[in-house]
Amino acid sequence: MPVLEVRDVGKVFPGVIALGGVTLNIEQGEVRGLIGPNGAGKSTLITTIMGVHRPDSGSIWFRGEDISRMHIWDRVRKGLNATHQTALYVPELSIRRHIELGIMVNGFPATDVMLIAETVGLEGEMDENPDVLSALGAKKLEIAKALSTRPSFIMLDECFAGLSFEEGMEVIEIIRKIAEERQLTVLVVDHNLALVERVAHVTTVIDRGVVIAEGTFEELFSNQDVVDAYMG
Amino acid sequence: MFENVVYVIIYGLIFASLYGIMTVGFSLVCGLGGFFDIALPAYFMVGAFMIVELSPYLGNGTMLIVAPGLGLLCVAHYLLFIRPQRDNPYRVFFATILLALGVESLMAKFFSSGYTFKIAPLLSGNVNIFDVEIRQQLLLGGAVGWIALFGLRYISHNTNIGRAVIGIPQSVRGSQVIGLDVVRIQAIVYGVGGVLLALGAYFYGGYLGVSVHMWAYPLVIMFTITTVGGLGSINGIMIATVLVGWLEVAVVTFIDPRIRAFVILSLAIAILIFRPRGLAGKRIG
Amino acid sequence: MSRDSVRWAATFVALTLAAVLFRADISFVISATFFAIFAMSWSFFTSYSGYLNLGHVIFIGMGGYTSAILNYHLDWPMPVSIVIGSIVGTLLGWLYLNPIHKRVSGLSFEMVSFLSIIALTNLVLSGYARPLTNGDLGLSPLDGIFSTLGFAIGIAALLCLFGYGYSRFLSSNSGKIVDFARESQDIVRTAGADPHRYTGRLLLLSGLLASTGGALYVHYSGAAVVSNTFELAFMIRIVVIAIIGGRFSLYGSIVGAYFVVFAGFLLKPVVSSHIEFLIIYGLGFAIYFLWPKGLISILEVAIRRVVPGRKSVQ
Ligand SMILES: Nc1ncnc2c1ncn2[C@@H]1O[C@H](COP(=O)(O)OP(=O)(O)O)[C@@H](O)[C@H]1O
Ligand SMILES: [Mg+2]
Repeated sequence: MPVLEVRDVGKVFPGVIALGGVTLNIEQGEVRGLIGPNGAGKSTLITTIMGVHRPDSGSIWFRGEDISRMHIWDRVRKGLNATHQTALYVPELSIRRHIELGIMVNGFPATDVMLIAETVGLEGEMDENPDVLSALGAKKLEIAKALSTRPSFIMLDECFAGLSFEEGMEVIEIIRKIAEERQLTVLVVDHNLALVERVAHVTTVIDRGVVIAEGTFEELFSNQDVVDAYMG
Repeated sequence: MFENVVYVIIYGLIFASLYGIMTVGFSLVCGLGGFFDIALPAYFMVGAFMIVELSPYLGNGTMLIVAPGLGLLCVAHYLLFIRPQRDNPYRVFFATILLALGVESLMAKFFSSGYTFKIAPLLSGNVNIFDVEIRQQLLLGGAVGWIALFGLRYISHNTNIGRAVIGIPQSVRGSQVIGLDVVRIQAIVYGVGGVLLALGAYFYGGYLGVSVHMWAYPLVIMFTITTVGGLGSINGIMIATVLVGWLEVAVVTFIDPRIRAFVILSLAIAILIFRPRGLAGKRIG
Repeated sequence: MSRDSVRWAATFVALTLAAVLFRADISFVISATFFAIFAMSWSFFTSYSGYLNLGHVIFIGMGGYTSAILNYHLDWPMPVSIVIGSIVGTLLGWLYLNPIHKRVSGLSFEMVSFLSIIALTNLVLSGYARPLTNGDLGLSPLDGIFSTLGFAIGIAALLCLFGYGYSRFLSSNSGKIVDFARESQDIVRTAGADPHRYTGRLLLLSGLLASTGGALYVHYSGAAVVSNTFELAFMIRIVVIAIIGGRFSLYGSIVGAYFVVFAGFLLKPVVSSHIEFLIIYGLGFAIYFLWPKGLISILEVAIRRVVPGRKSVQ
């Protein structure tokens, strides 16, 4: 049974059909890629799965349970979390406090803080404020915050945006590590096909709010629809 | 019963027009700047006292002085107090509450706070519409108010500046691109709002009397019309003011005059909680 | 002993000394302490939750009127009516404001809370409530509390007890979560918690002190009337005091209350009450612009000069 099942989810914003019936199944332990041109609906899909928006139609199932009407925080407590395309942090509060937040809220042991910091490689900057971080550091903090709630499934939106290729590879290392050590299922979303290709087992392509293809990169780019979506 | 219903309809429409012109400045300023200017109702009270004080000397020409005078006062208020902090709605809110209470204290120093002053009417007879007696002066006020509102609606839809006032809340940048200066537009809105406040003060104060406390209830009315109608919309003001006018007169006629502010505020609170964008406008805050 | 307990014990000693020193004018000391109670409970919620609450007097009024009604109409003994009034006032205020703060934030919350107190004032004065509230005349006479040194010290103790409790709350886990919720509710949501659960607790604690203060205050004043409970002017006075003192510090409210009450004390023989208000509002206005962190920030600098190495108050 898939960990996450998105069943025919639709979401309309004033004047835009952001999602036009998306169906997506992700298996335990998978690292899934999600690509698509700008405005395809990738971020909307993630925020809808997280519960920032209610879907207008369809339903979302997590580990066999319909979570479509749950609050964000209840979804987080069920083991779902995500990083968002614009980093969410409070400039006046230290990096340590950001990582502590999820641990405190959920009553996890304080030892988690250092474990997470080491996993993402922020242990040297714990008492700094987040706005001193580089683009890579900011991504690491986003991932650390998501990990602080001990998720079993995380979605990483715009995972490599603003990073150089080498920095992207560093994020990929982190993804591989958490997928392995924490048995995490991961959904990686980005424009950078070369990087997504390196980390994802299977990749889904969406365009204008619908899934147009799914498979390995080799399969995808022999598919004319995908090529059109990216060229046109 | 029938006379009562007719009474509510007619008086509701008359007060709606007065409340409408009193609210124009408050609502458009809020739509443009995203802040509430609590000092405006206090200037409404100041305008009423200007009329009381000047009419012995100026007679029927009083309004020709007071209306532009209050307009200028409001523009000066904007340039002096609001413009420097117009990007911070909280500061404006605080500053104008303090200013309003300060103005009340100051006026109470000069005019006895327990006393109600009178404004001499232009017309003194009554007319009878469907068996409802109405003072000619009040009917005149209603007519003037509605003419002003429809005129304003026409201007706002058919002139550049008018379209800019309505357009800015949707897109501040768009208006700047077509070369309009936001500060100047706001100053103009304050000026027009001040003139209309003076007109409102003349008819409202003429009917109910003038006192230093007379700004609090209009503040309630301005808030309610602004939140019910939605920000920065003349159509919204016109719809909301009729609703509020009828609701108020109905409460006064059928229930209890002393509970009118409570009922009207409950409407505003309910709209803020359940439909923050109002009936025809954009969301507050 | 923790740093918080030392500070609040020191504050209590200082307030007691002030009461003893000014015992000839003890009513001013008591008045200042009451306003410190109201301002501190206001800024505890407003400054730390990020919701600007202009409906704080709902707690004061609900506590005050409940106690007054029990004492005036039902002849319940004053101590009992004060205790019941405090609890009922806290609950009524919280049951009204808590759902609203969940639903609207920012300027909308400010508006709703502001409009609510005007509406409540109107309701209390209306014909419907008159049998219960006596309208403009208010409920008077009530069993009174006298201006004694003992009472002054007693409410100073109440103030410092809550000040200590508030400080502890702010440094607890809940307080740390509130630090995030104030800046971004989404960050708390994605950490797995409903931010309003924590801001709601803040509101409850804020209301408990305000409502207790309100119940005591009507008996101390001898009457429950709108001007010492629900009225807008009363609310504004509380806000001005908190701002003058410094609303980002619990101690700021105490400084502000003493400053304003004693400024009024000095001005009273010289000017009329309208001018006194004008001066105090003007002062609030000026301080808000010059030192957004209030008088406490000036005091802090002075303290740091005298006690080197000491970290900032609060
Ligand atoms: N909150 C919103 N309100 C209105 N429209 C939105 C909102 N979020 C996204 N959209 C629109 O939905 C479409 C999909 O956007 P998004 O999900 O951000 O795409 P992607 O992440 O794939 O670039 C776009 O047309 C975008 O303009
Ligand atoms: Mg996106």
